[in-house]
Amino acid sequence: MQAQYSKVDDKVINELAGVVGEKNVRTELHQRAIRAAVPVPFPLHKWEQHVPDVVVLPGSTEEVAEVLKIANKYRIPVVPRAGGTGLNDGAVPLRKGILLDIKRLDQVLEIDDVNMTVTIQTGINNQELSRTLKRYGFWWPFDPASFPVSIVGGNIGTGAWSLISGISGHIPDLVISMTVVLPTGKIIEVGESGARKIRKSSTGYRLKDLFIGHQGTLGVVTEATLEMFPRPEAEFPAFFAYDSFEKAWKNLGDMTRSFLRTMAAAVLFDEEKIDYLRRDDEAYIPLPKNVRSVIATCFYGTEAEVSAASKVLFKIVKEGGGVYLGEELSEGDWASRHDRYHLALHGRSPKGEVMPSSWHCEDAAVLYSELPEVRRKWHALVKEYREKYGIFDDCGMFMYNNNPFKPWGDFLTEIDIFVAEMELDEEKWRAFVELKRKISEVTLEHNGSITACHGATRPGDAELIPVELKNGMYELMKLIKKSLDPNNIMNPGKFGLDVAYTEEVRL
Amino acid sequence: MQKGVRLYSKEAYNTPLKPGEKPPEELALDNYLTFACRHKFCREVCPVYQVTRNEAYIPYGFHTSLLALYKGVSSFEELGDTFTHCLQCGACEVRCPNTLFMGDFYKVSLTTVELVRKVRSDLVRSGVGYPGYQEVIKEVDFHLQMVKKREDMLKWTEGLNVQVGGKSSVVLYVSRFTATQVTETARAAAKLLKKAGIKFAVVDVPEAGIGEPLDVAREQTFIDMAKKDIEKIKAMGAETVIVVDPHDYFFFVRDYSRMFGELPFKVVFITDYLWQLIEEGRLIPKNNVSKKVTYHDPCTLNKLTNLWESPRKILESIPGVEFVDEHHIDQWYYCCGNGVASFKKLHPEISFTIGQRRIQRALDLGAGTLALGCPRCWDHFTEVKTKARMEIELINVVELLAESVGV
Repeated sequence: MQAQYSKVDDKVINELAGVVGEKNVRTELHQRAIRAAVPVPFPLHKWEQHVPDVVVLPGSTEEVAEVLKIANKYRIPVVPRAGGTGLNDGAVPLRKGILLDIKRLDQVLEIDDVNMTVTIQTGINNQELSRTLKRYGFWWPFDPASFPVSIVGGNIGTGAWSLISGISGHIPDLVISMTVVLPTGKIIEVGESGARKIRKSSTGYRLKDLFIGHQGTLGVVTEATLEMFPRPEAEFPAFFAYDSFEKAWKNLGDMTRSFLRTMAAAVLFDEEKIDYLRRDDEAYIPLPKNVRSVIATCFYGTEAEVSAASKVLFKIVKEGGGVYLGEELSEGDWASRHDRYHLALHGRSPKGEVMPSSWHCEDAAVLYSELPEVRRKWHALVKEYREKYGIFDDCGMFMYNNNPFKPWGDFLTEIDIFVAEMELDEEKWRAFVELKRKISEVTLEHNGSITACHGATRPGDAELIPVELKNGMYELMKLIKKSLDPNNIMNPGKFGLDVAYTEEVRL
Repeated sequence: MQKGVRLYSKEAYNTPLKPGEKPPEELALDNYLTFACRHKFCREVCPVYQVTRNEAYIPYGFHTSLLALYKGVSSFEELGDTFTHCLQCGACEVRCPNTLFMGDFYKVSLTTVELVRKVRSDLVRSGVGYPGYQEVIKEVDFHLQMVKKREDMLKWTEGLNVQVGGKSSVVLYVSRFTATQVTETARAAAKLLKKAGIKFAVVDVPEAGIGEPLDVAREQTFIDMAKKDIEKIKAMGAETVIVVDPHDYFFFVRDYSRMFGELPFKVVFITDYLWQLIEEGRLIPKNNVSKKVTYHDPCTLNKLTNLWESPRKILESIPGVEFVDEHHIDQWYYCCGNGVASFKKLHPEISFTIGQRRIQRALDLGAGTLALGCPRCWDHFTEVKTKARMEIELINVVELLAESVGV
């Protein structure tokens, strides 16, 4: 039986307004409707089902706590939303309720330039944080594709991934401690230890990880103490071309296992991705016909380190049959990496016509050894669905180093699929979800994980969580969810965790 | 609306929205292109969002609200508050990947300024209105009365001995706001032109000069004023029109040329013209002006008409000026807070906060002087600095140059 939720009536609205102020409680239909979606394919044909009942914009940790107390008292679902730029459904309301928009929590609270930490409110945008630190000569070494637009609280909620993880890791490696508001409204401090700035401790359970990647199902993170880096002396992007995917893949293995400690990023563009980039003016890499695959790398460190590393790198590339694409292209392309985002008109129908589209970005974590097979199967699946339904388009794959501080082993594996969102009806929507699920099933067949960073929060992912987290892990999740959120108010329905409240959990 | 006048660059914007009516499909497609992106580069760059942190008040919010209207999950009557929250500064238009990457190849770009004008006007036209629109209408009426007062409009030329009206190949265009509120800038411009030996005449007298009519369904007023000014300038036999107020420059370059086709004269912004005179050696900045100066890019130049070079070059050419520049792209994020048309009247508090933050940024750079390119920025910053008790000198680049040239 599903939990019974209360309606958001005038009484609730008044109580909320009493906490955050009237203008920070928004009831207009459009203010609610625009916060129903994130940048992934959205079922526009049933938009109404995802429109929250009210939008609340709190201005402090205490206000968040009071809002959660109200929600818990009346049993009203709460969906936290930060940038709303996530590539899975974490911020999409499944049961309506209160949409808790944390963007007003946007202050930098402390910069500790001796112990190298920065403490923030979690509604701050990454680029803004980066700009602030730059003024003081420091670096926020976090580099998701969404860097200019995503918000740290959302990055924490999803367990976000960084392009330069070879030197600075991902969000779990960059968060030291947090202020968390639990579903009951209780404010707690959670960190690597009980001390706000200590990075390694064995005093208690490693609870910090519980509130990273929880997708808003366990509470709301309102403040965080983060790693801050010195600004690196050298940044060295280098792009290489290959005449086949296989050659590039072999070389990717050699370069990432070479133990170059300044290697921040290694990204492989497969043949379909190169074809896609050639399709119109957007082909930012000038690509002669013999270029079929590309590896983009980037190094950070001292001049001495990076210079020495580049010599080793060029030797590996030469032996692997790669060709350096030159300084201008490498630097230009690296510098503009955040600006090339999804464009609505890049999709093509099977007839070759422009197809206004949304974008699905698969983000499985796949073992290096399995990449060629996974790639083959994924492209075949998209081809099959494209032919059958005509609303999908394959724009190729990227494979990025995924293992923090060690660029070998497993790779964030992305296939980009355009979906003609305006044409979605229930049948086509189901086809999309089915395609999505089959892609994830391939990942699981090859001992991979279905999502490296976006979160398994949408149909097509969520139902496979029990399959991936077999042998007790999913059961443990249910126990944790139920004990922290007794009324299932926090982002209900996500991770399929409603079952924790309807079935007996056996461990 | 007058036939043959292209009010909006997109055909879909011409169908007025009304309560209870579904928007046309064409408009929904335009809205969809922004919704489909939903990565919101337009959000972070928006000065209003930076203060309100409400993502309804950005192009994603505007377009998605209208797409929602098409899909039945939004109400036209509720849109007023949202659509008032726009400075019309154009930051989102230049930052948007649609404009950046699809502009050339697909001929699609973000047109927020036009969309906001359209929806505000549709709200007024349909009788729904929006909070504060009567104030905007009052401003339009005030302007229309003011421009009839020829003496007041020309008072700024007193003692300058400049030609008013009549034939001239070079025309100096000074519209109501500068002519009556910020006369020093207009006077400095005229003095510099004279010093360089330029023969010119001023328009007798301009009628246009505000964007507000486009926010309150008074499009015909805007068109009539523009047409009269264009006719007057044509009758003077002008080849070049030098514009002192960047808002006018924006109207000429973007609105008039879209509405009426190519204009029969060249429109040049004052700092571009003056910089050319300096390069030709006809103006020599010689007097030492010992000031630490940073420059504020007016939205109408930097974001809406891509003009940012000449004011910087002029500042760098003035002896004694220590120029601490902030890159013009970084300034996409800034605004004085006034906005291009109605914003300040609709949201004075946000307007104030935006201005306060901008001045603080200049102070953080250690600047004692904030050089400006726009009389309206000067007006608004002056108010902000007084209210907020901030110590900074505000001066138009043109006046600084006049000081150095010695006129």
